[in-house]
Order: sequence, then C-alpha cells, then structure tokens
Amino acid sequence: MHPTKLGDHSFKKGKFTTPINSIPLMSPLEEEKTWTYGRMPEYLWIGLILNKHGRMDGLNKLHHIITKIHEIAPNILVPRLSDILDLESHNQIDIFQFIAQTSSKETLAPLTLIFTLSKEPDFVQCCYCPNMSVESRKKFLIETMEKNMGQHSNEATDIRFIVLYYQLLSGRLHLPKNELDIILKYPTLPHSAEEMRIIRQSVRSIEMMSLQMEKANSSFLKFFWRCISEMTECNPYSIRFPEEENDISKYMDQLYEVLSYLLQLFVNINPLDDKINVIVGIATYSYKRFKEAYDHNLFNTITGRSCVRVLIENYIMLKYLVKNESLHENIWRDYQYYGIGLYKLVLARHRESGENRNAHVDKDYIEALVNEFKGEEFIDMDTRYFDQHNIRLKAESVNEKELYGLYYDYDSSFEHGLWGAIRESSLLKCNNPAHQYHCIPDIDNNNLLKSVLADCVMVMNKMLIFLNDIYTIPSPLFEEVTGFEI
Amino acid sequence: MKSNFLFQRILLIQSEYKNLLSNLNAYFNGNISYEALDEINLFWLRNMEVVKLYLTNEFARKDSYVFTASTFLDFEDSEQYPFLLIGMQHVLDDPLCKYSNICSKMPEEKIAEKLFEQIVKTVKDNLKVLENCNNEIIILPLRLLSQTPENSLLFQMGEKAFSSLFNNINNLKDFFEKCNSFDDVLRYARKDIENIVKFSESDDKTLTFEQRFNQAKEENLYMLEAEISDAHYFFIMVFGNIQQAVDVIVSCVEYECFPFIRYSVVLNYILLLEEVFSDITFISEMRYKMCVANLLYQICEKDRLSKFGFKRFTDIIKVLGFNQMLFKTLAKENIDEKTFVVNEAVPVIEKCLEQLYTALEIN
Repeated sequence: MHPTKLGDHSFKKGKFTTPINSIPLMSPLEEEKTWTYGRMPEYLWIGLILNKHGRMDGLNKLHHIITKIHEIAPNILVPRLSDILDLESHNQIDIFQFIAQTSSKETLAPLTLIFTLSKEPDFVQCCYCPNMSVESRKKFLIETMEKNMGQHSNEATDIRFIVLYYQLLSGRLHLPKNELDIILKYPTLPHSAEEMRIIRQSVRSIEMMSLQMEKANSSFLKFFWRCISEMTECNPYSIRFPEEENDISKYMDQLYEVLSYLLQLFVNINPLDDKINVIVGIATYSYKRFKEAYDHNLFNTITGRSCVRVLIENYIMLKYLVKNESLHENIWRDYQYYGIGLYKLVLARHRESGENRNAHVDKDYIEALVNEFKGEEFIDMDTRYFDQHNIRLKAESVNEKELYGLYYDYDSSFEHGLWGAIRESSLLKCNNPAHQYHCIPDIDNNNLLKSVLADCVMVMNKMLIFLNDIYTIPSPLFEEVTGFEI
Repeated sequence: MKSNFLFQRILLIQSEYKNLLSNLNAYFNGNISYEALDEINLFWLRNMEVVKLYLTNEFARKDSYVFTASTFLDFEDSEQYPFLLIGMQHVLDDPLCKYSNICSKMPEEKIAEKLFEQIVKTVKDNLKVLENCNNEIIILPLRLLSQTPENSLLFQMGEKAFSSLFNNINNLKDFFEKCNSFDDVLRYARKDIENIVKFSESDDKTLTFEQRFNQAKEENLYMLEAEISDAHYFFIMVFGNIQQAVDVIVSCVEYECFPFIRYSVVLNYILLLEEVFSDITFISEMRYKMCVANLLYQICEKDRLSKFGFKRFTDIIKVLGFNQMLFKTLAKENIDEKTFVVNEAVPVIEKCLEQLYTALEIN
C-alpha cells in the first residue's frame, strides 16, 4: 500500500486531513478492540495451547476444547478468557479441567502469573503447577505474546481462526457456503500453501466483523497489562547511525579563507556600507555555527540539527534581502534595526522585572549594543516577522521551497522540542511485548542521530555560490570549497 | 500542591498487600497453600522495582531502621512499640516472599507443621501491622532483593566466615571432606569456637559444647534431613545463621539503614562478621545503632509504652523527638560508635525511657 500523497489530503486552516479521516463517522478502531491491546490478551490462552502443541495438533485439540466450552457455556459468544473467568465456579472448573486433560496442566500455567489465587481461585486450582518457576512461566508467556503481538502474523491468524470458528459454532456468525468452504480449509492447509494467502486475509477480516457487537472488558485488559508489564523488565534498544568520521579540516580551512577574503573586502573596500556589513555578518554567523558543530563534533546530535536549521534560515534571509533591496528602501539598515529592536524588547523586560540574577542575558551588555549607533528611544520594537513574511513565505519567494519543506521544518521540530524530535532523539524502543513496545527515556545517550555534516556543507556551499554571484570569490578558492563533497 | 509520587505508590502497595493477605487468609487454614505463597511472591516481584526505588531514594540515609531476621513482628505482643522507639523511618522485612521458593523446593511431607505454623502466624501478624500501624511501619521484602546474581559473592562471604571458625579448613568443600562426625568438627575447630558459636536463643553456655549442639539439633530436627552427618547438622545450624547475618549486613549497607535485631543469635553473628566488612565506613555506625536498638529493645517496658494506645505513643515520641534525644543524651555521656560499652549505655537509655514514660503518662 502506497502512502497518500500530500495533494490528496484536504488542507483547511493550516491542517492536512487524510482522505480516510475526511470520511464522516470514520474513525480508527477503539484501543480496547485493537488486536494487540484489546483482543490478544483475551485469546492468549489459545496461543499458549498452539505454542505448546504446534499448529496442526494445537488446532485439533482446540477444536475439542472450544466445542466443550460451547457445550458447557452456550451463552458465551466468543471464547474470551474474561468471559470464561466470569462463569460460575463449577463451569470454570469443568472447562479448565478439560483443557488440562486435553492439553496438559502446564499449558495454561503461565497465566497463573497474572490470574492468581485471590482473583481466580478456580483457574488457579486447575492450572497452577508448583514446579513451574516464575521465570519459566514468564518465558512461555512472553514467547507466546511475541509471536502473537502482530495481528497479521501467522500465529495470530491461527488464534483468530479459532475465534472465528467459535463464533460459527455458537451461531453468532453465519457465512455463505462458498465462504464457509474456504474458511474450513484453513486448519487443513499449511501456512506455506499459496491458497493460504487469501484464506488468511478472509479469516482476519471475518473475525473482525463481529467487533461492533462486542463490549471490551476494560478492567480485565487493564489488569492484564498492568500485571504483565510489572512482571517483566524493559528491554531497550537504541538506534545508532554511523558516527561522523569524515575529515573536513581542509574544507574548514578553505571556508575560513573565503570568510577572510570577504572580511578584507568589507574592511578595505567599503567599511561603512550597510549591505556588505549585513551580508558578511550573516555569512560569518553561519560560519561560526558550522565551526562550533565541527569543533565539538556535534554532527550526530540534536544541536547539529539546530545548526542546519540556522544555516538554511540565514541563506534564505540573505537571498530575500538581496531580492527585495530595490523594493524596500533601506532594507539593509531596517534589517539591522529589526534585530536590535527585538534586543531592546528583551532589555526593557529585564529592566521592568527587576531580575538581578546572574543569567546568560547580560543586561548591561545588551543595553550597550542596543544603543551602539542610535539612542534606544528612537528604536521601535517590531514583534512580527521581518517584512511581515514568515520564513516559509520568504523561502517560496526566493525559490528555496524545497530547502524549507524538506529540511528546515524537520529541524524546527528539534528546535521547538516537538514530539517527533523527542521520540527520535531522546527515547529508546523497548522490545518487550509485555510493555506493548513502549518507549523509554534515553538518559545515557545511546541513540546516535544521523550526521548533519553533508547538509551543513550543502547549505554552506549554496550560500557561497550566492555570495560569489555578488562579490566574486577568487576562482581557485571558490572552486575548491564548493567542489567539496561528503 | 507538592506530592510525593513514589511514597504514594508505596502506600498503595501497602494497601494492596493488606487486601491480598486478607483475601488469602482463608487459604492458610488447613494445608499449605503453594498457590497462596506463589501469589505473595508474585506480588512482591511485580513491585520489586518500585520497592528498590523507594529504599534507595526515600529510605536510605534517613536514620531508617529495618526489622529483620525474624519470621514476624508479633503485633499482639506489642513489638511494634520498641521498634518505633528508634529511628525516623521503619520497614518490616517481609519473610513471606521467600517461603514460596523454600516450600516449592521441599517435598510436601518435609514442610512440617512448624514451618507451616510460622507462615500462618506471619500472614496474620502482617495483616495486623498493615491494619493497625497507620503506615508507621512499612512492610517490604528486603530479603527478596538480596536474591540477585551477586548472591554467589554473598555465599563466598558466608563461606569465608564459616571457615574462619576452624583451623586448616579453607572452604566448605574442605570442611565436608575433613568433617563427618561432631568429633571431627571439634578436632578442626578454633579453641574459642564455643564462645563464638551460638546455636539458638535457648543455647545454654553452662553446658558443654557437644551438649549444646545436641540440644540445638533436637530443636531443629523438624527442618533437617534425617540421614545426614553431625558435621552437616553443624553446618546447617551455623552456616544458616552466618548467611542470614551476611544478608542483613549487605542489605543494610546497600540501603544505608540500620538493622533492628530482636534475637541475640543473629546479633551475635552480625557482630562476628564485622571484620569481613570492616573496610566499609558505614559499618561502625551501623553496629552502634544496631546495638543501641537491641539494648533499647531489651530494656524498655512494652506495657508502659503501649498502655495509652498506638496513636498516643507515636504522637508523643514525635513531639518528644525521642530518637534524637536518646542519641544526644548518649553523646553527652561520651557514648558514641567508638566508645560504646553496654554497661555504660544502659543507665543512659533507662533515663531516656523514664522521660518517655512520664511524657506518655502526663499527656
């Protein structure tokens, strides 16, 4: 199945809605009716029998068992464990004793880890084996859960077949003869048979047909998941992309040479010109961010992503300023005072708060910078975007929509601490089915993010190419630096 | 509003444990219930990580005491009163968690009446503590936490201590190769062994060492295999106590708390083992606080402590700051972990207790 294209989504008030969610009354299955969370725990007993005896023998034994359950408790419409455990004591004993006779007492013993004497005395009386240690019971339970967590696995489909067969037996479900004939082939064929591809799909879809009529047993599910998760430990695994090992010292030297050349141009040719001041200033800021990432080997880190983001933003802003200089009088000076105005706002807040702690914002220094060339009383504070266009619109206007859409937005997730970035960088996957494969904090920094070096070089070089168009960087230097590839 | 998330969870565990024991109480009438013991074990295993987190972060280093090396507290005999006299936080080390493993490894006929009686008594006593002590005493399975892979190291410590009772015996293998009869044990034993070894609470040191051994053997026969040698009997009775002492020391060192030891046998072996752990700085403070606690236990008059009820007792010891008062008074008399001598400490403790009795009576 191919993912839906962006254009196929509806876009209203800044929100993309998927085609499936645009259909009225269409919603995903309630969690308690999903296979993994809601149904698998109810049918885990079937999985234990199949796991114990293998598929063919297990299905055969289960045929006898579910026939017996239906005979003892005809009101049960699906063979859910919670329904069986709700039966009267003598019925429960008859069922569990029959299972113990047909299979063995040990088969369901792993479930005594969860359903204990004080809660389910009849079940425990029939299935508890004193010689089965906690560890061995845990092992069987986890092994069976692992096989059956995915709703499409062959093992889970075997369980779903038994559930479906039980519904046919109980008369809850009726199928046309041709469909019934197909379904009844299921236990006779191995999973490797070509025909089984279609039969498995039929089993899974028909098994779900009656879900609307069912009411999940919430307390049973909560109890099951709480016990099983408390009984087992997390099994975390990390994603480690290759550590950045490319040697870019030569590139950094060349980059320095370019910046040095630009500095000379500025200082020696036009030291009082606002345009070259802003352009070289932006380029230098990008260089310094890149250099910090290089000096501290931050290419595989969250901070590395922040670096790419600012390189992109600087590059887009540079192009935007140049593009609009003829339309916006004094754009170079306005750009500077837009930034200084925002500094003044921070300064004003600090003054008014009376805050005197030794924070990283140095009020006195900020005050000096704000008043550096113009008295602050003459500087306005514009809290909107510069030129009233956000970075996305600016990117579009300078034909850098892709740079924004493919990278900047992704890096913004890291900059703003949005959940995608938190999940990717700061959480590990726990490979324990009993914990529903939840995520756990990566406080030991086991995850290693993919390196941003190639993207840093790519954006930096875009900026150099742009600067070359304006100032013409000496060609051997320019060619060497822009020809650098990771 | 600030809330203590972890402690709230511990209180919830106490409440769930109370409900569990109440529900299982009925199964402890008559035959041994493996299923019930299994459920208790599972309960603690499920909560083990929370318990560890609590012990490490809320209990450790807070002048905390653990009532351990006993099968139960004995609520009906007012044993909660002396226990609460000393320290700021109190945990009762629950032995029930271990019975499931012990019983599942023993043939049913061996799980004699006496052991089963112990289990039943402990269940009932735990319930009384949970129902009546207002969470002043928290029941947690400290001894379950020592069932870790490091156990082999603990075993080696016990082995070393046991071997040190003999000359020319280096380890347990050596002991069993050289000793079969009680005479063999005596042949290799250190000269002062009869002063070091204590077989039971009723061990009478006026008797000969052999008489004492035979008496202890009689008392413990219900737990011992019939066809083992006297050297093996000796090993079981002594090594069991040594191993228990090792467990107590290791748990208390790990969670930086002090053991409240009621019985002199265990106290004897803990003091004996000090040398093994002498390089741990906490040990000398632990020994001092443990000895003061035991002395306090021996001296105090439970009738006078319990006369006005549990609530009044706990209120008064808090208002009076009995624990701080006790150690300040001892310090004033130049008694501390370096200078502690029982005979000098007794009158000081008695004086403090008198103040407490008076406060209880006046209020």
